[in-house]
This record gives sequence, C-alpha cells and structure tokens, in this order.
Amino acid sequence: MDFLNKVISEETLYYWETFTQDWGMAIAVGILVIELVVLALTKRFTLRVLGDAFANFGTLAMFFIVGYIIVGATYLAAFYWVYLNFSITQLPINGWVILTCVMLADLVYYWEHRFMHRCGIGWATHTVHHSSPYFNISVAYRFGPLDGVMPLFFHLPLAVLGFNPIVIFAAEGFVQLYQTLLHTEVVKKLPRPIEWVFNTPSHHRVHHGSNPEYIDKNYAGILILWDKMFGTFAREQAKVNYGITVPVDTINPFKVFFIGLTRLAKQVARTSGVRNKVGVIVMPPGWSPKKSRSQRNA
Amino acid sequence: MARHMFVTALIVVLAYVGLLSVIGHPFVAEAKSELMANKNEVTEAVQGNSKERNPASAEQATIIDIQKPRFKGPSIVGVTSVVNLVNAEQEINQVWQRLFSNTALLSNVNWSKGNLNAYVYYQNFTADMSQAQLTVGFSEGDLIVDSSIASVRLPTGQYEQFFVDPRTGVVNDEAWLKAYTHKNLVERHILNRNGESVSTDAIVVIE
Repeated sequence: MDFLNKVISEETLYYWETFTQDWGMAIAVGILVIELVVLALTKRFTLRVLGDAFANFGTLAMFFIVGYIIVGATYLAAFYWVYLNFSITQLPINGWVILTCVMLADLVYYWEHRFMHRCGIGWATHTVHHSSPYFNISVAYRFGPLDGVMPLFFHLPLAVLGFNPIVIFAAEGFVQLYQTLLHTEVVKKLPRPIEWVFNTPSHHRVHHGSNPEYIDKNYAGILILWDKMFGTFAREQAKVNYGITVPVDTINPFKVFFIGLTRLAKQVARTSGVRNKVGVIVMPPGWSPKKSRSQRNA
Repeated sequence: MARHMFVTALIVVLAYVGLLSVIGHPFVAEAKSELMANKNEVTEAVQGNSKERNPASAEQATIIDIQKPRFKGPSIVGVTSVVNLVNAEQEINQVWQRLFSNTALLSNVNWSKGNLNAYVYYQNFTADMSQAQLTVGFSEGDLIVDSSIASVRLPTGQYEQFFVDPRTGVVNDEAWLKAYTHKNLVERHILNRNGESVSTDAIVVIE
C-alpha cells in the first residue's frame, strides 16, 4: 500500500486526468458505434436515432461554449480562492487523498444530482439530459445550459476540507466519466455483487425511465450504495420507457439545449405573485401554488 | 431528509478523519501526542500510587517503550545566514530572496521530479534566543549534479511535527517553544514545479 502514500505532483495528476478524459471520450464514441451497429442488426436503427445522437453532441458543443469559456474561469478561480483563503488545511496529493476525494465527490454527486431532480431550476437544466427518448452513450453528452454551474456549490466544501482543486476536478471528472459509460443498453446486468455495490447500466436505465415507479430513483454516480442508504433505489424490472413525462419532439440541438429553461420561464410567467414565481423556481418540478395550498389543507 | 443529511455529514467526517489519520496529518498527530501525553501522566500517577502502597510491585512494573517515528534529516544546499528573530519576517524573506536569485543553484534543481522539498533550518540559537543561524535550501538528492556549495546536515532523531497555517505560512507558538527547548526547527515546504509552496509543516527533533 506504500504507493498510496507517494506524493503526486499537480502536473502529473492533471496529465492523468486529461489522459483519462480524452480516452474516455474515444471509448465512448467507440461504444456508440457498437450500439448503432447492434441497432442496425436488430432492425431498430432509424435516422431519428442518429439525429438524436447528433443533437446530443450539439448540446455538448453548446455546453462547452457556456461551461468552459464563460463559467470555466470563474469556477477555477472560486475553487482556488476558497482553497487558499478558507481551507482548514492543505492536504498533500497522494493516492489516499485522491481515493478519499473520489469517494466524497461521489457522495457530493449523489446530492447534487438529487437537487437537480428536486428543484425547479435544477430540473430546468437537467431535463435536457433526460429528454432523449433513446438510451445510448451519446445521451451522456446531452447537457443543459447550467449543468456546469451547479457542481460548483456542491463541490466547494471539498476545497474547504483542504483538497487541492486539481484533485477535486480529477475526482469530479472521474465520477462523470464513470457515469458516461453507464449510458448503454448493450450491457444488460452485471454480476450480483457488482450490481449491489456499484451503479451499473441497469441501475442507470432505471434513472432515465419515465415509468412512475422509476421517477426520481438511482441518483448515484459510482456507488449505488448511496441510493440504498437514502431510500431512492429502484431495481430494473419493468421495461424502461426513456424520456420525460412531457416529451421533447425535436432533434434541433438549440431547441433541446434550452427546452428546460424555456419551459420554466413560461411556467414562471404564467404563475401570479412573486412568492409563487420563486416557488416554481426553487420547489420540486410539478409544484404549483394550488397544489401546495391543497396539500396544506389536507 | 434531516436524517439523510446527518448520515451524510457522519460519512464525510469519518472519511476525512480516517484520511488524516492514514496520511499522518499534523491535526491527528498533535491529537495523538496529546492523548499519549495524557495517558502517560495517568500511568505515572497510577504507578506512583501503587508504589506507595506496594514498593515491591513497582520494581516489577513493565516499562512500555513507545517507538516514535524518526526524522532522517537530509543534507541541504542553499543559503545560510544569521537572522535576528525579533525582526524575523523581513530577514527570513531576504534569505529566501537570496536563494531564489541563485540562478546557478536553481537551474541545478531537478524540478521535473515535481513536489520537491525546500527546507528552512534554524539552529545555533543564541542564549537569549534573539538570533539563530538560518539555512534555506534544497535536498542534495534533488540536485541534478553535485553542488560546490557546502551542504548543511539537518538533524536526525525522534521528532514532533507541527501544523503550519497554510494561509500565512507561519509556524505556531507551540512549535517555537519546542524549538527554543531543543535548539532546532525545520520547516518543510513542498514546492510544485513552478517553485510555489503547496504544503508546509514544521519539525523539531527532540532527541
């Protein structure tokens, strides 16, 4: 276990992170090709599937523009500012620290993901990811406009604990990459011990289901244990109907990218009263003043 | 939901304390040494009482030898100067500046290794503790070729490790008290490839 104590430089970690992410993307594209071939062989391939995949990568491109150019610099600066001014210590970079950070980043991801589903503004951006009626690896790259902003608030406490921002970014990236590879129908079920501990394609298919029993389940990144611990786990049993309850009938990446925010804005405009408008933004999706009143009376 | 948040906080605390313990972070090391000191005090008190009651059993008492970790001081090459500890900050900064203006030495440092240690070694304190000899430099092992500058050997032995505030880089008073008693103090700075300090701790060799 001595190798876990070996100090790793920021540059080395950055190199490995970039290497992993680049190859992760290459592997994902490879898997997408296999998925398309399988669809073709089983006579389920349509031009719409291909168009949807292009729309997914289109949202990725827009996510890069918003996320990397506008948010990226602020994001980086915020982490370093907190790390240098408000951290209780500064942890060295070694195997133990990276492993612990990945575990904590995974726990953080669970809560961030749950927030994205249970808060109006969170769902407005995350609904883009769930809006595809298909389930293949390209869906993992289907992002909403604020998907790059939300993680900031959830991961900043890790900088307060003294994790170097580079370690946090690498851990976040690793959890994301793991998640990416779960977006497939090619892998059915994995051996039981793996299904019990880890998030798997089967568990994640459930997460993308619009079946009533599958809604708001399986938020996990790497460890499905978090869902089991916090009562949000569901096993894949019935056939999964992918997508959202109010479908998005377009493969135009621009429309897809802004669909959630547009719908939220329309809902806010329709709602009367400032308090109710704020409610629509911060309360769980589907919340309305009327429902809230009837729930209180009941 | 509140229960879930509590469980989450518990997991974070357990994982974090576990990590600090595994990597021997000064937070935990200090807590451990305090605990050990308290334990020793209690043991001594118990032994003292039993000695009074039964002197024969005291002779048979087993002395537990606690194996403390040892700091193996490397030889360092850098800049040495006598500094006035009353006006320490300014003088210490000047020594650092002299080190970083020695381009021949800096270009001989193997920066590509990453995470190099830079050492700050205080020794030869005057009787009134107003002055000390200060050496700031790099381990000989981190140089590409042997340097013509005379090296200074850091002390070796059992040690106590102290927390250094990452925001200010200032060694705490407890460390200085130990330094005055044992007449040495070593600051260990981990530098990245740009020469920026990413982590610092302080060590006093106690025997």
